[in-house]
Amino acid sequence: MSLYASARRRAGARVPRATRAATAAFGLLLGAAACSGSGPTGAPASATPSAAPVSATPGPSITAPTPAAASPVTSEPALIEPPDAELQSGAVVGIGALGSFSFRETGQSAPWLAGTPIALPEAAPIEVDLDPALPVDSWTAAAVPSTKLQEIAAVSLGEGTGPIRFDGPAAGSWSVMVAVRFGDGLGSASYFWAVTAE
Amino acid sequence: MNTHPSHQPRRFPGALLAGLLAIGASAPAPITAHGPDPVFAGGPFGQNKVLEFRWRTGAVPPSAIRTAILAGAQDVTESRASRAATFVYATDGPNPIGYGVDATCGSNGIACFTRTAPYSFTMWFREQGHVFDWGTLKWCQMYTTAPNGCYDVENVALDEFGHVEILAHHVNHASGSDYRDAVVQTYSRTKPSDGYNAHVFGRCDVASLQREYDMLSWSAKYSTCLDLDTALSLSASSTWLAYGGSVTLTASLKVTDYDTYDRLGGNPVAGRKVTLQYRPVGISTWSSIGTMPAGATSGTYVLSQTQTSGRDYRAVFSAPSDEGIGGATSGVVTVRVDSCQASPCPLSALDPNEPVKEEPR
Repeated sequence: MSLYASARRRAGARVPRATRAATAAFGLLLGAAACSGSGPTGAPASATPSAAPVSATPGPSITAPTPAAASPVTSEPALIEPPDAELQSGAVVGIGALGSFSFRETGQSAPWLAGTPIALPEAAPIEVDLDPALPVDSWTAAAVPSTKLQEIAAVSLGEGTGPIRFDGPAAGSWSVMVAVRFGDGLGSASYFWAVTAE
Repeated sequence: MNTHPSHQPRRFPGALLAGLLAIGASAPAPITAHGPDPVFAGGPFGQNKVLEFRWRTGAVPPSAIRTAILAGAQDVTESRASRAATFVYATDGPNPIGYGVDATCGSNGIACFTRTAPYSFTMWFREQGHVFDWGTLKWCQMYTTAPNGCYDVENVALDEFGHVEILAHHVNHASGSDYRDAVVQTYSRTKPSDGYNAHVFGRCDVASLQREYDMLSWSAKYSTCLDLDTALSLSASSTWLAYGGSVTLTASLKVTDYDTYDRLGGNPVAGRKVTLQYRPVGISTWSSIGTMPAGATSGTYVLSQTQTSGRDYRAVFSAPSDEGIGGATSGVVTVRVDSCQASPCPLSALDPNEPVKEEPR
C-alpha cells in the first residue's frame, strides 16, 4: 500500500491534488481495515443462497434484519486515492485531474472536470500510464467540448482492455476523460485533461 | 433447457470476455463495460442489515441537506429490489455522516465515503459554496428555486449509500448514453442534465445489489441489466398409467447455478408463466396444454393430465421482456398408457387429436 503514499512526480508534470500526500498516509490503515472487512460474516455469496427465503412469496419481514455486529475497527478509516494517470503525447506530459473514484473500499463523487490543461496537435496519439503502475481491466476515453461540460454530450475517443492508447480529439477545446477500471477488483477512477487541440 | 458449455453467464459477451475471465478465482465476478455495476472486493454487509447513521458531531448538515440525505436513505429502501442493507438515522448510530469544511474528500470530490464491510461506514458532503478548481459547489436543496448547475443532495446521497452497499462506479459507454442505467456514476450531473435528480437506483445498480444480496422474494423480478440463464426441469408422478389414468406433471424453474451468478445461482423462480406442452408419442409437433399453476414449493409449477394414450410432455418458460432472465425448455418426459382392457373401450374419452393405438409394454 505504501506505493500510494509515494506517488512519484515526473519533471514538468502537473500536480493537481494537494491532498494526496496527506490522505495517502492513511491508506495503510484503511487498507488493513478493508482487508479485514471480508471476515466471517462478510463472506460473500455462494451459489446456494443459504440465507435466502424458502416460501413462495418471501419478503423482508420473513428474515429478521441482521443484528448490527460490533465493529472491530477502533479508528476511522480515511480516503485512499488511486494512482496518478499520466498522459503522454510526444513531448507533452500531464497528470490528469482526479474525478470520481471508487478504490479500495473508499471513494468520492465528482463532476465531469475541466481537467489539467495541455496543448496537443489535432488527433494526436495519446497514451496514459498509471503511476504507480496497476493492472488495468478496461478503460474508456471520451471528450466533451470545454464549453459544454454540463451537457455531457461526449464523443468517444476509444475503449479497450489493454494499454490505454487512443487518438486525441479534433481541433478545438475539449475536456478529455479517461475512465479506468483497475484489475484485481481494486476499483475505478476517472481522470481529466483540458485539451487544446490545434 | 438453456445450457452454456463454459458455464459462464451470457451477460458478458464481447471481446472483453476472454481477458476478464483470466481474473483469478478470488477476484469478483467479471464485469465488463455497460453491464451490472462493478463491486468492491471487501464484500457486502449482512442481508437486510440495518445500518444506523448519525450526524457527525461538529459537522451536522443544515436542515435542507439533512432532509435530502434522509430521503436518499429512504430511496435505498424503496429501490434496492434486493436484500441489500438499509440505512436509518439514529441519534447514537455508529456510522457518522458529516457536512462541511472538514470533509476529507479529495480535492475535486463533492461527497465521499469509506466502507468497512460488514461493520461500518463513513460519509461526508462538502459544504455549500465550497470553491473547487472547477467551480463553486451549489446544492440544489439550499435554494428556494434551484439554479442550473446545482447538485441534487438526495441523488448524491443515494450514490454514496450505493457505494457503501458494495457498488463501484458504473462503467458507461464512452458516450454516456447509458448514464441512466446507474445512480452510482463515474461523474455527477447537475441540474438540468438528464439524471441529475434520479432518486431510485438504476437497473445496473440493482443488478449488482441483487447479485450480492439476493432477491427480496422468489417471485421478484430480476434487473434487466442482468442476463441470467434459467434451467427448467420436468417430472411426472408416474411414467406409466392405466387407461384413463391421471398423471401430475411438475416443472421446476431455477436460475442456473453458475458461480459467477453469486447469490442468484440456483434461485427458484416463482410467479412466472410456465407452459406445459405435449405431443403424442412418435409425433414431432408440440401442442400447448396451458399454463401450469404454481406448486407448493417455490419455483415449481404443477398440472395434472388424464391420458388414454401415450404422450411426451415438456415445459416451456419464455424469456420475459421485462426482466433479466432467459427462457428455458425442459427435457422431454414420456408417459405411456396401458391399452384399453374392457370392452367396449370408451372411444369418446380419447383425445381427439391422437390416434388410437395400443402401447407396447
